[in-house]
Amino acid sequence: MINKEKLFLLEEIVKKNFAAKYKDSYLGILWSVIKPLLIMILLTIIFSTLFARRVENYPVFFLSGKCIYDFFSAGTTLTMNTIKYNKNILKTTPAPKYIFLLGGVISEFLNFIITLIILIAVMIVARVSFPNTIIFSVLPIASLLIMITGIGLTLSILRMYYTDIEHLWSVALLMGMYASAIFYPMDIIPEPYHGYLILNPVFWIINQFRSLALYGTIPDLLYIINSFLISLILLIFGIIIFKKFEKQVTMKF
Amino acid sequence: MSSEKDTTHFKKTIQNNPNNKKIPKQQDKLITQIAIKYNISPDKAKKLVLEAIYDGKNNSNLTNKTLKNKISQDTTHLKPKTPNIIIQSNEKNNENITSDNSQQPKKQQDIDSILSDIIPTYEQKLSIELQNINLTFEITHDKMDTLKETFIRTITKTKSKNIKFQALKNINLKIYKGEKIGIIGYNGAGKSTLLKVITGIYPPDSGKVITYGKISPLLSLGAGFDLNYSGRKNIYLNGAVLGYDKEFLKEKEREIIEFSELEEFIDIPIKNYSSGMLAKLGFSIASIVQPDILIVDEILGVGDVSFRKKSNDKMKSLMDSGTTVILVSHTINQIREICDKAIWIDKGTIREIGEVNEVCDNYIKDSENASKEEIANIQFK
Repeated sequence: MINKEKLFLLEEIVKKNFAAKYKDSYLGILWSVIKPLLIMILLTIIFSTLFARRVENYPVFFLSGKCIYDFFSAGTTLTMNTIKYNKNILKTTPAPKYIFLLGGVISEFLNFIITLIILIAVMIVARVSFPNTIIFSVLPIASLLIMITGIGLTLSILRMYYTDIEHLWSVALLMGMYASAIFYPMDIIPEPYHGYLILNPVFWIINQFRSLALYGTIPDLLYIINSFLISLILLIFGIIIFKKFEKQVTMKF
Repeated sequence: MSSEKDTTHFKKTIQNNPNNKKIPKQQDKLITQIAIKYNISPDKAKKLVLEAIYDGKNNSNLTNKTLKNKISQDTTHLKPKTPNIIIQSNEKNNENITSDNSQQPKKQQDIDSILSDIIPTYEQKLSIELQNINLTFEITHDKMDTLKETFIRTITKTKSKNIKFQALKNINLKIYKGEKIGIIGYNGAGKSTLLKVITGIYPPDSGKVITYGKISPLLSLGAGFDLNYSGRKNIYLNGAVLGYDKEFLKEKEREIIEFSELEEFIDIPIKNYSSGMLAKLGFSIASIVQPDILIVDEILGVGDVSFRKKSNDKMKSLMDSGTTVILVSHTINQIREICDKAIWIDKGTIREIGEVNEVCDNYIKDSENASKEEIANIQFK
């Protein structure tokens, strides 16, 4: 399915996405580092005393959630818009569309890796000890990657049929961010509403990542398997939708 | 001219042994005779003879005259000196000509499969095959591409009905390796749509598109150029989009740059390029590969005068050496010059298919009755 030519196309698309993200900026890729750091500093100033008793090492707590959620939001948004952005190419060449979508996911994933490096740097500065379980944090990340691909595939098709999906999704992402316990600890939410947080699969992943990478506790195995299953279902759904409408979408240009 | 004895004998050999593996000597003789007479290649002569025989088989009153007739019809364009004689002989034997022009395209298809059954050496490799292609576009009058609109209109039941426009209707087509096909037709007839179906950009509603070999669609130049990239980087980006691999591009980079005449500017971002320079670069990248099937939509000649000549020459060299060419053009003379077969698309169907001059002549004749919108931009002369 993936041959040499497609791999090369993928490489070029990832490069192009990167270039587009930082075009004309002096600091270029450094913005991937600066942006989360600035927001981390800001939120630490605001909230660290407020949540001091509930959360230890607020900057690390916040940044870990922020990294994951930013990847989710940037990855789905970019893949959603990929077909639209590359309209001119897809209109005139038979280049495979899914490569463009994968390119979106991969370039955002590379960006995510950069933010993880900052997270590690902040952990070192904040003198947080690295638990042994940190190695297993690749599991929630893999699950997240699958989920983003699945959602991105579905959204990219929907986006071509309904333009408002773009705005709707940005609202959904904002709501999702508040519902993912990124900058506040989960236990400030009143007990009856805990159930709703569970509906948010990104929250699962943030939770698993924090316990594996920060607290050194291994979450329930069933919890990890469940989030994998959800991601797989989303991916399969995305692939089916994409396969079905991939070609029809070309006629909408 | 070949004697009657030869043909009848040949006819019998074919008819009596449909699976005859060896070509009888008489047939060979006939074929060489025809080849010499009409100045065509033996292969082509063979094809013509067998086609004629097959025509006759379906239609019991085959005579030597109908055979000759058929051959002369198919060879008129090949040698301009002979037609006069042939036409004369046609007129004399008019009563024997069966007029089934409408069914001709269909018949030609059948011939090939039967011929390849009879003679294994009958080599005509398929390049493109279209089977019963149908394609409809949905045209929405109101803008209905937002969720809000869809929602409100579904509730208030003011949903406008989508108008379906059938762009291609039941297209059956076989194109052989090395054929140069020109596609002509009025504006909006479906020419470009057909190209996009062949290329695989548009999915047909029903039917099948089978292509053999590497397709190089020159539908637009520089698809996917990134304006912030330098010319050199764009070679790789555009090359990747066109389906080339990295090693190939590395190897050809110099050649592409040289051909584009942009050596001085190749390392600056292409947002500073003029449209002519962009077209030069795009053409140089697109034309670097020798495809099996070349699909061209009106892009012959880009850039300034000297480059236009150069690109035209390059185009011609690409079209030679056994490449299958499909060309859509509004310049009829260009079609006559390059192609040897033409397809006239009219309202989504194949109206006529055949020898290029013949189809073009009929097309020009018909255009006198066409509306102004239909023939805008078309250069008939």
